[in-house]
Parts: sequence; C-alpha cells; structure tokens
Amino acid sequence: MEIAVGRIIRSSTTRFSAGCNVLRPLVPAFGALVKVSAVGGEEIYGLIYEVKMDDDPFVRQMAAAGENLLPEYVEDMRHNRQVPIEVGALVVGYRTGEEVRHSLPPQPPLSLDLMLACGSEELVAFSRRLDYFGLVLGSRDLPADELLGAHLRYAAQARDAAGHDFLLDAGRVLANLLALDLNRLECLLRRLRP
Amino acid sequence: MTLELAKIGHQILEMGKALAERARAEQSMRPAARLLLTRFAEEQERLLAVANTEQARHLGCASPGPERLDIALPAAAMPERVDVYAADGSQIYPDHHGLAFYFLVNVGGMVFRHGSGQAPETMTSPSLFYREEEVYPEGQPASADLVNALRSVAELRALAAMAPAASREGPACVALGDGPLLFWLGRTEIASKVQSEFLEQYLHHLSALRQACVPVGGFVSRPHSAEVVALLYLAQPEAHPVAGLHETLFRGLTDRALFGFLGPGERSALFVRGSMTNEHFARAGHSIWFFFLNTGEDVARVEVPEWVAKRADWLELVHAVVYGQCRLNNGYPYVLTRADELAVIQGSEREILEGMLVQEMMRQGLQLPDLSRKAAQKRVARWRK
Repeated sequence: MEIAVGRIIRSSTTRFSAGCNVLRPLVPAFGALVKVSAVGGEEIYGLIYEVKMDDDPFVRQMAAAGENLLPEYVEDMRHNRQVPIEVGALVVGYRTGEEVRHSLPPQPPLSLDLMLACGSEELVAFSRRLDYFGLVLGSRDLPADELLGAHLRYAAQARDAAGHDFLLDAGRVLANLLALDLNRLECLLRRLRP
Repeated sequence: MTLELAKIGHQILEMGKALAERARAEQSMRPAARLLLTRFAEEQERLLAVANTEQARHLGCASPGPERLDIALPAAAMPERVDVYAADGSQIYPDHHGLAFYFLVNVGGMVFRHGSGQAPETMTSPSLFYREEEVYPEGQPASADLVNALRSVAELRALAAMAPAASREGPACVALGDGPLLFWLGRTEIASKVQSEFLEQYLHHLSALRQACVPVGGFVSRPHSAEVVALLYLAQPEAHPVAGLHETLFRGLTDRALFGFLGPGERSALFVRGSMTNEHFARAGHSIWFFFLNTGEDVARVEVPEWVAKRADWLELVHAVVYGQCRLNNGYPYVLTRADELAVIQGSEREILEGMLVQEMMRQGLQLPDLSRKAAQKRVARWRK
C-alpha cells in the first residue's frame, strides 16, 4: 500500500524534501523507503534521513503552558495550523519501467509532486540487490550508518522469516565495502543485530 | 539612502524623556480620577444626566450602567463545554499604482469547541473586489476606510453565518470579534449612501446573532479611549466646558489606566459607549456597552450589545470565556490569534495572486499589465529589501 507522505518542496538529483502538515501514524519514519515521480517518467527512490519541524513561537508558547493545556489546543496546533513538517530523503536509486537502478537519476523530482511511502513488496523488490549501499555510506554529512542500519532493519522485517538471511547478506556486502574501516564496519554490524 | 539614525539620535533621547514625563503625569492623576470613580459610584442618575448634555456628547462621554462604578467582579469558571466562534479579517488595499485597481478582503474564522477534546474547525473566506461598482462606489474610488468598513461587515457576517448551526441545541456559545463592536461611521471618504448600507448590513448580522441566542463580544486590546474619564470630569460640579480632555487635569489619562486597579480576571462595571454612532445601534436594539477586563497581562475593553449586557448569564459567560481564552495566550484570546493567523495575507501570497491576475489579463488579450512608473521605480530603488 502506498501512503502519501507529503509534496515535494525542494529537490536535486541527490536529495529531495517534502512538506506535510502532520505526522500521521502510518507515515514512515527515519530509514523508510519512499519514492517520487520524476520528469522523464522515472520513479526516484529515497531513504528518509530527516524529519524536522520548523521553529514556531506559537507552539513554544503553548508548550510553556505545561500540563494545563487542553486537548483542543493541542489538536488545533497539530491539525489546523500550517506549520509544515519537512521530510528529507536521500536518493538511493530510480526505476525506469521494470528496471531498478541503484544510482542517481538523470533528473530530480518536480516541486509539489507527491512523496509516497513504499509498501513491503516494493521495499523487498528494491533491496533485492544491495548496490545502493555505496550511495548511503558515501553521504558524509548525514548520519549514514544510522540511516543504513534503520533501513536494513525495515527491509529485514518486510521479509519475515527470510529477514535473518537478508541481514547476513547485507553484512557480507558491508564487509567488502568497509574492509579498510573495520571500526566503522563493527559499529554498523552491531546495529543490525536483532 | 537609508535612515541615518545618527541624525535623530538627539530626538530619540528627547522622546525617551517626554515619554517618561507623560507616564509620570498619568500616574499622578490616576488617584484623583479613581477618587471620582468612588465618589460617583452610586450616582447613576446624576451621571446619566451629565452624559446626556451637549458637552458630554462633544467629549464622547460614556454613560453609566446599573452597577456601582468602582466594582471589580471576578470571572466565573469556564463552563465545561462551550463553543467559541471567532472571526478576524485581513485585506489588500486598492492601489492606483498597482497592476490593476482592485482590493481583497479575507476573513478567517474558527469554531473552538472548549471541553470537547476535538480539533477546532477553521474556515477562510476570501473575496476579490474588482467590478466598476465595487471599486468606484457612487463614483468615488474605493479608499482604505471603505475596505476597513467592508471588512468589519464581513467579519460579523462570518460570525453570524457560523453561529446558527451551534445554537439549536447543545453547549453554550459565544462569538468573538477583534476590535470594537461599535462600527464607526464618521468616515469622510465613504459616500453616505454606502455608509447607510454598511450599517444596515452590520445591524442585520447583530440581529441574526441575537436571534440565534449567541452572545457576541468585541475584544479591544490596549484601548486608548477616555470615555469614562471624560464622564468623571464632567460629573464634578466645578467642571467647566472644554474642547477636549487635553485642556483638563486629566490630559492623557486613559480609561485603561483608570481601571488598572482590576485584578487578574476581574471586570469593571458596565458602561455604554458614548459615540454618536451608538444612537443608530440603540435604535436597532443593539446599543453597545462595554467593560474593562484584566486579562492577566493587560487591561482590555470588551464590548457587548445591550441584549448581552442586560442578561446576567450571557454577560457572565462572555466574561468567563474571554478571560479563559486569554489565560493561555499572553492576555489575548487564543481564538482571535488563530483567526488572525488564518486571515492574514502574506506578501508572498499577494505576489502569487498578482501573478495569476497578470496571466489571466494576458489570456484575455490585454497588454502585459504594468506597474505605474512610480511603483516600478520604487521597486528598482528598493531592490535591497
């Protein structure tokens, strides 16, 4: 099932961000796989690396009311006010027709396109090959290891019983990629342990 | 060029001194005015006679209500369930130097169901005015005064439109607007026929609220009126005719300062607005009354129609709701902050609107509309901001 996260407000071929009003329970969190349409008809895949709310003095003032705040005020702030929550995604590949490529797309998504959360089937299909690890590990200004760890846990859960084998495969790929940085590899592998 | 602050440094120093002097003067006359409030606290008949004199009309004196003038009544607790309706407006004023001569009014509204646990309902109602008869009513170009008057009518219309649905059954309701409930008609830039139409519509919406049994209030933040001070001045036997309070000992003293003795949540006695316009309202059964309220942060004026002022349970409800709404919101009703937030037109939104207008004008085969030379050159010169 595809769930709309929000609409694109900023994009490049390496990252894109969507704005949404409220965080709904089903909206994916850090590490989840999302997708958005691009100009040429491709679908661009990304991993959510950031969910942030803009600073808002009105919300701060309400927060200062502490426990006295009635639920109507909280609901108003959460559901009615146009304070967007920004969801940032790191591009990890794209799909042209039936083919999924784990590389950067030729063109970025357009503004106001819908960012959709991928369902389990699509997550399993996307992570059948693991060539996109390099795109994540190479993003030095992001919490790349945390991001990949969170994503792999989701991908393993989506495979149910086969999740354990998937994590073993992922561990092997990571061992190759990080053969020269054993400390980092160890930290990352610890994150994958059940 | 930019503002050369060094050139007014001296004036800023002088201004600071002048403000301090004014504050000291106000403080020194407050006790005398309060003594008068107590002295005439139960002399309603005498004060009514004073308020009906020509001199009182000239000064815009308030009239006393039935209560002791110097009372301070605490707010009742908010009812467990009450629906609060609020509306506020915003506008784009007509501009001869703009792309086209038009104006826009946007009203934001909210239904806050206190005690329900539900998210409030919100609405916005934008209206674009561009027809010949709208932008040149009675042959005169629309002015800022006209837009303000039209906005006031639209705000009350929004309140009246929201209210009936709630009044049929269920919890108590209160409707709140921002600013005076008394609609000012001394506008020289509005043709008298148009003024009369506005007044008729405004009174019609007040009647609709009354019929729906929804008490309505207007919240005036930091009021600078001196209607009660003027009444107290004229009530003194030794008072002599003056052109304005500035000729008296009470120069610069406001009603807000006079009622500074109110504690948090307390309201003053009721008074009747002294404006000439109130006579039009009174004829329609909507004479505007008011009280002062300590919101917890400041002293505000709350205006209510006569039919609210004279019904104790509605008056108590308005008092409780306004104070309850102010408590969490730094002394200003929460619903009005939100209604303003819904109504306000940001500069970026205006740019998008005008971009759409340009597109539509071009689609209609009009030449690419242009700003006036004055407006265009201002933009060139002000490019930094």
